[in-house]
Amino acid sequence: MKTVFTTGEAAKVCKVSQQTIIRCFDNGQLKGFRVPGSRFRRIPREALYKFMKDNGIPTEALESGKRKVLLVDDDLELVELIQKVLEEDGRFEVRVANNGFDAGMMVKEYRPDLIILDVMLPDINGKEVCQRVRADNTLEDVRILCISGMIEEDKIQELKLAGADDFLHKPFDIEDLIDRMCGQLEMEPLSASA
Amino acid sequence: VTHRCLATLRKDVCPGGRCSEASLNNVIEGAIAVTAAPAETAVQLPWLAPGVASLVALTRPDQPASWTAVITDPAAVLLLLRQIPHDHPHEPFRPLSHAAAALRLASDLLGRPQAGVLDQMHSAVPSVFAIGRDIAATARAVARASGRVNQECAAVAGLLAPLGWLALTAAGPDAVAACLTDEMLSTQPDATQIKHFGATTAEVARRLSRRWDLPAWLVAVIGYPDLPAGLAQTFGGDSALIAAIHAAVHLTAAGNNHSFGLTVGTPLEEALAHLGIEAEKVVVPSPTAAEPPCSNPYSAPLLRELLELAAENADRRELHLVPRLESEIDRLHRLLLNQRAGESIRLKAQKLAALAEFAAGAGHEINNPLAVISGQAQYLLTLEADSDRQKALRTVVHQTQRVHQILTDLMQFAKPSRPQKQPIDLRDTARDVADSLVDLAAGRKVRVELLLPDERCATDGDAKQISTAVASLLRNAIEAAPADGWARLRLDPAGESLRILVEDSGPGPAANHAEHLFDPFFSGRAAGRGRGLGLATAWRLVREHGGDLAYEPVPGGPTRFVMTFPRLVDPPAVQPMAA
Repeated sequence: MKTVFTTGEAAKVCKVSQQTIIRCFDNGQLKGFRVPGSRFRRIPREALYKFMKDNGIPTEALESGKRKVLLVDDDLELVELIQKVLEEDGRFEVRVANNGFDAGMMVKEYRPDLIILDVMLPDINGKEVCQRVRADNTLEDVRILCISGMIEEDKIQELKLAGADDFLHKPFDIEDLIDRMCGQLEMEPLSASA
Repeated sequence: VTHRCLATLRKDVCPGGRCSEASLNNVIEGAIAVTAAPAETAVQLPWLAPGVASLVALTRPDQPASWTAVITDPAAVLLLLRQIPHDHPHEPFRPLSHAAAALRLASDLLGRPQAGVLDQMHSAVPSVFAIGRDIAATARAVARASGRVNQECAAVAGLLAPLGWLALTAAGPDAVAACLTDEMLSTQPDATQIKHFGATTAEVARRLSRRWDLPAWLVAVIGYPDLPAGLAQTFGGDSALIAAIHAAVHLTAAGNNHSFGLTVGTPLEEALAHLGIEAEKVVVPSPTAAEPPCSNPYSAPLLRELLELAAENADRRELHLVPRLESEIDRLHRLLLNQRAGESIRLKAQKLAALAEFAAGAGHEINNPLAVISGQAQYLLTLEADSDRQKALRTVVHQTQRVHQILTDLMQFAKPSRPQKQPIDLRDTARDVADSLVDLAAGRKVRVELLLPDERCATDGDAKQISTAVASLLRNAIEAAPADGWARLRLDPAGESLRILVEDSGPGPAANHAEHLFDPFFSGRAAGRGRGLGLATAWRLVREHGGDLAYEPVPGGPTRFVMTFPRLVDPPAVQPMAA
C-alpha cells in the first residue's frame, strides 16, 4: 500500500487541484514534509487521511489506494488476462466494459482515472468514444490509452487527434502496457510486479 | 458446215450470183464482225477510256473537287478501282490513294492503239451513262437511309452496275442503240441482249470485272447481279452493299419506267428489309438529264505527258510519305504503349489498394488473437521458474511480434502514411543510415563505403520514410555481399535529380527475376537478397516521394540499385534530420 503521496497524487485522491493541495500544505492545514535536499513536498498517508476527514472529502479512494481503470475491449480472453495482470499488480482497481455503449455509461458512473480502450468495438468506434469523453468537461482528467490491432498509421494519428493520450499496438508487451499506464497516471513505474 | 453456211449467206447477200468472190467475202466477214463483235470485242477491251477532265482530276488527288469530277465518269472510277487489291475490303474506301498507279496505267494505254472510247457523238452513249448515274444517285440515297453502307461505295457500285452496257457501248454503240430500242428488252432481257450482242450485259460485266481484276466486293455486285444478296456474298461481296445496289436498281427502274434489261437477284422488299429501311424512307433522286459525256483522251495533246509527270510526282510524294507514315506509326505505337503503361499503373494501384485493405483487415483479425497468445505467454513467463520453459515462452512472445511486424510492413508497403515532407539533406540521411547498419555489416564482415559529395543534396521529403527506404537497400546490399565483400552507398547529384546508388559485391539477381525484385514476398530471389518486404517497401516509399527505384544491371560490375529523388534547388533551409 502506498504510504507517501506527492501533491499531484494527493490532488487526484482528493479530486481537487494540485494548487489547492500545495496551498493547504504551505498554510499547515495538510501536514507533510519536504524531500531532504530539495523542495519537493511529500504527504504521509495518515496526514492525508486526517485532512480528508477534516474537510469532508470521501475517503474510499484513499482507503483502497488504488487507481481506477476502465478496461474496454470485446475480446473476452484478452480482457480476462489484462484484468488478472492488473489486479495482481495491486495498484489498480479494474472494471470492464465490452462495448462502447457500456463504456460510455461506466465512464460517468465509475469515474476512472484511466481508460484502456480497444479502438475496434462492436458498436461505436474508439475514436468516437475518445471524442465523447473529451467533450465532457467533468471528465477532463481521465486519461485514455488506446490499444488496437489496427496498423494504419494515419488512423492512429486520427485517434490521437480525437483525444487519445497514448496508443499501443496489439500484441503488446504487458510490462510496456503497465509502464505506459503509470506514465499517464504519474505513478512510479513497476514497483509491485518487479 | 462452214461451206454450207457461206453458200447460204452468198445467196442472201447476192441472190443474183453476180458479185465477185472477194467482194462477197468482204461483205460476209463484215457481217460476221458486226453480228458477233459487240460482246466479243467488249470483253477484250483493255479499258474504258476516261474523259480528259476526270484524268486531269486524277493528277490532283488531294484536292476535294477531284473526287466529284471522277465519280461522274465510270471509266475513271474503273481505272482507280482496278488498282485496289482484289482481296481488299471495301472499307475504308479511299480510291484516290491509288491515283498514281491509275495514272501510270492510263498513260501506258494512251500510248497504245485507241480502244474503249465512248463516242460522245453517238446517241447510245448518253442513255447508257444516264443509267449508271441514276443507279448511283439512288444507291447513295439508299445507303444514306440505311446507315449501314458506305455511301461512296454504294455510289461507285451503282455507277458501275451497268458495266456490261458501258463496255458494249464502247465496243458497238449501234448494237446498243438497237438493243435499247428493242421492244423485247423489257420482257425478255437476256434473249434480247444475246440477240444484239451475242452475250448478256451481265456476262460481259462478269468477264471484264475478272479480267480487270476489280475488287471482290465490286465483282460480287456487278458480276453477279442476278444472284440474291445472301448468295452473292459468297463471292466476297458485302451483303448490305449488294442489297443496296439491288434496291437501287429496282427503284431506278421504277423511276425511269425502264429496267434497261438489268435484272437483280434480290426483290426490292427483301433488299430493303435486309437494310432495315422502309421504301418510303428512300428519297429517289429524279433521273438526271444526261450531261454531255466525256471527251476522247486519245486526241488531247500533251495529256499523256501530264499523266506521266503527275504519276512521277505522286511517287516522289509517296517517298516523303514513307517517313511520314513511319513517324505516324511510331506515334501510334507510343500512344499504345502509354495507354498500356497507364493501364498497368492503374492495375498496380488497384492491387496496392486491395493489398492495403487486406492488410488492414488482417491486421485487426490477426493482431487481436496474437495479443492473447503473447499476453498469456508473458503471464506464464512471470510464473515460470524453469529456464527451458522460460525460453520457450519467450520464443512464443517473440514470434507473435514477428507476425505483427510482417503485417505492419505489409501495410507500410501497401499504404504508407502520407509523407511529412520538409527539406532534408540526403547526405545526412546517408550518414545516419550507414551508422545504423554498422553492427550488421561488422557481424557479416562486410565493409561499408560511404561516398558523399561536398555540395548540398536537398530534397523535399519525409526524413523517416526516406531513411527507411535507403536502409532497406543498404541492408539488402550488406546481406547479399559475401564475407569480406563490400557494400557502397553513393550520392550523386545529377542536374535536377539526386541519385542514391547502393552497390555491393554480391551476385546480382537472375535476369528473369529482375522485374519481380520489388514485388512483395517474391520468392525466387538470389539467396540473401531482398527477403521480406524491404525492397518492395523502399520502392513504394521512393515512389511516394515522386522518385524512382530501379535495379541497374552493370555488366561485369557490382550489383547496383539506384534511387532517384527530385532535387530541391535553393532550399529555404535544410532541417537537421529527425531522429
